[in-house]
Amino acid sequence: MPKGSIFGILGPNGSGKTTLLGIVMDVLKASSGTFSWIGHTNNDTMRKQIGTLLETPNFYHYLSATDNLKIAAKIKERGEEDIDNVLQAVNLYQRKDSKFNTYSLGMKQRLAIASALLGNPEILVFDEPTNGLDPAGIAEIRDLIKDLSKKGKTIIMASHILDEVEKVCTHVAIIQKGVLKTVSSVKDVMSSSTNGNSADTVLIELSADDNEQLKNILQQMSGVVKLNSVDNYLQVTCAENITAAMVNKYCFDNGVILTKLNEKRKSLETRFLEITGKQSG
Amino acid sequence: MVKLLKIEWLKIKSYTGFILLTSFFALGVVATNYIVYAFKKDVVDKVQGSQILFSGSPFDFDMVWQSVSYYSSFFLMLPALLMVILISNEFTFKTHRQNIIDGWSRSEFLKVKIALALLLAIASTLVVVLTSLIFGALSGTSFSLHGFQNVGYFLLKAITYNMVAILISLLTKRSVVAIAVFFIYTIFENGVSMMLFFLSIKLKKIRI
Repeated sequence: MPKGSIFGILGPNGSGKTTLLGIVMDVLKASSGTFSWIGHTNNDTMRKQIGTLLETPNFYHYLSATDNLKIAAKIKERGEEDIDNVLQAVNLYQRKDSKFNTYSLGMKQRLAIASALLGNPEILVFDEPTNGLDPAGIAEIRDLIKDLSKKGKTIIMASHILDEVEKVCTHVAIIQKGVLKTVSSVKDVMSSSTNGNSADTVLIELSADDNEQLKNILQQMSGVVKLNSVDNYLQVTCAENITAAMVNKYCFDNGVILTKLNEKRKSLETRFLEITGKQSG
Repeated sequence: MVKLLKIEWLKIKSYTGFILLTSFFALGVVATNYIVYAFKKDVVDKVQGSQILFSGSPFDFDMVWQSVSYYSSFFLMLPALLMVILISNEFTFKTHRQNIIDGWSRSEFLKVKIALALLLAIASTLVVVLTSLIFGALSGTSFSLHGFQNVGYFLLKAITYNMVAILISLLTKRSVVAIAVFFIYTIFENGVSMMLFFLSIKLKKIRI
């Protein structure tokens, strides 16, 4: 895991994301295998230097945000002067003296992030950090994570929200049923292909008044790899050098006017489905 | 360890359950002993024939250590209940995980709870010592440490109660279940000790 990266851990529900993070944070015992933090295996002191949000926000319900963070700071052996700063960073400063059990889910999540930020740790571990937040909150936290990354922090983030990983992370590991499927930079994962055929392909969805005719014409077009009839449109897989404009022009030249033309960007979602689908399929 | 206990103090100092149960304990100890003391003074000493209720004066020095320890021991349920609640709270709030994530080791988490139980037992015993001193002074007899070992027995009982409370709450992890099991345990324990008491009397009679 490279220093200074935002490392995303992706996987379907129940694939072992939280279990993995639980093991490296020593709340769960591994049945086999080892891990080390920056070369250290003794992790009691290591954990104090890592900011972690694992699964749910865990705080004393009857204490205020400030008191809860005081406990966390004391355990981490950090000073208390940081508490106001981290509360401001997550927009909780106005409610700092309210008891934890009066907080909404989103506010609890914010407090958990604040707790992870205590003491300005070099490594941050976030397990589904945007869980329970409103859209504005999600955007805020993403910006916060990107900000932290710019300051050179190493961030490990588990999520099943692909969009989030795609937008935020630099590296990604995909796990399924506890098995590591792939690990590399987001760019590499998005462009590589598992089943070997056509490394970089363009997917275009199109339809015309007469789909049969369209299909016949497209079959003769060079660069078309695969044609699929889906409902009332055609799904065309083309070589990398083909663009939607070229397809449009080709069809028009051959006397077919398209009623729909949609170039699908190959997203992390399709890659994710390809990678995880192989195992279950 | 002091560092760990300071963190533990942060957790409990403004907890309503902690404030309530500890003050109930202190209040209960003083009040119960006062009731017995007043009963002795106003009824037993004045009404003819009621002397059979008390042999001697329970709050005179020598006897005061044993009397106060005995009457107060019924309230040891409260600090033990507090231990049950404090530990099951950690499980309910999942803060036992958070403490470890933040950098405690598992053994530190356990050690500080055991230390807290010991401190609570010592604090309960101090309340009993103070109460004994007050009622001993009220009785007008001269101070004596004779019979002070009874306070030691009280401390032992306090420690064992708190330790059993820790064990039960660690095993059940839920406050309601832990409290139920704890009360069943105390009833059972009292039953067994009563049986042993009567058995010992019987055995003594046989020997005679």
